[in-house]
Amino acid sequence: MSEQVSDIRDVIFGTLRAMLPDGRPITEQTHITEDLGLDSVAMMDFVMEIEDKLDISVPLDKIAEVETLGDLIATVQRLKVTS
Amino acid sequence: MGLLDKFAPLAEQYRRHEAAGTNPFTVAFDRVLSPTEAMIGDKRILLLGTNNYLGLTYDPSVIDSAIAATRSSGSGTTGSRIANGSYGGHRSLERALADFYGRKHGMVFSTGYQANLGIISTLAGKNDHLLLDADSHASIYDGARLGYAQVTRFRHNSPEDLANRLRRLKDEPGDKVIVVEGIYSMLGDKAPLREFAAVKREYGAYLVVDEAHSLGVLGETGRGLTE
Repeated sequence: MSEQVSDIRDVIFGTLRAMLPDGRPITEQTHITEDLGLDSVAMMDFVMEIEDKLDISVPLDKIAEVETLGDLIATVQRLKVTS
Repeated sequence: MGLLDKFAPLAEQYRRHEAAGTNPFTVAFDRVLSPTEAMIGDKRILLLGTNNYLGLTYDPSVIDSAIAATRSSGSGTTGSRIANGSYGGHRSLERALADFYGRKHGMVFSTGYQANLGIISTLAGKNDHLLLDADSHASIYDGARLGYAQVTRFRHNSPEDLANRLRRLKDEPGDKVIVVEGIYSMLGDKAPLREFAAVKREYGAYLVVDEAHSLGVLGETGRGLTE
C-alpha cells in the first residue's frame, strides 16, 4: 500500500515539475493555488494529466476539497483503491 | 476579519481595470440603436458580444407581438407556473419549439442559464453520473453542482477521452449523462457530435446538447448542430 502511495506521489510531483518552469521546491504541504499560483484552468489541466497517467477520474466535488498536494495524493489513492 | 475582506484581491483587480479603462462592469449604453449598434454619449459603437445572432430584437413583427402580448396579458406572469398556472401563449410557444425541433415536448425558461440549471440538475439524479466537456459554459457547471450526480470532466472535444472516462465508470450503477455544446460559447468551436453520439451508444449513455449558440446558425434548416 505504501509503495502505491509513493508511486502516486511520484506521478503527481513529476507532472507538476514538468508544468512549473522555475523548479521551486514542492512538498506534500504545498498549497496548490496559494503556493504554486495555479489558477482554476491550470489546476484542471494538472488534474487531467494525472487522471490520464493513473487511469482514474477524479470527480469535481473531490477536486474542490483538495488544497495541498498531500490532499491530492490521498484523494487519488482512495480512488485507486476503489477502482 | 470582516465578511468582505476576502474580496480584497478582487477589488484590487477591479481598480486596475478601472484605471486602465477596461472595466466591463462600467460599460453602460445611453441608447441602443439596433441589434448591432448603440450609443455611449455621442460615440456610436458596435455590439460585438451579444447573442443576438438572428437580430430579432428589432424585428417589427417581434416588437408588434411583444406589445400585443403585454397589452393582453400584462407586463409579467407574477409567479411560478406550478402555483399560478401557465399562460396559453407560453404553452403555444413550447409546442411550436418542440415541433420546430421535431421533439415530443418543449419547455421554455427565462434565460439559457436557467435552462441549464433546470435540465442538468434534474436529468442526472443522486446515483447518476454527469460527464461534462471541460470547456463547458459556467451554467453547465453550476447546473451540475446544483444536482446530486457525480460530476466528471473530459477533455474538450475529445471523444477518445470521453470513451476512457465512460469505460472507467462502466461498472458503476446509475445513468451516465454526457453534456456538450453545439457551439462552445467560450471558444466558438463545434462539438464533434457524430463521434460523441457513437461513444454514447457504445456505452449506453445519454447525450444532452446545448444548442444555445447554434440554433438558427448551424444545420441545413437552422435546427442546430444535431441537424
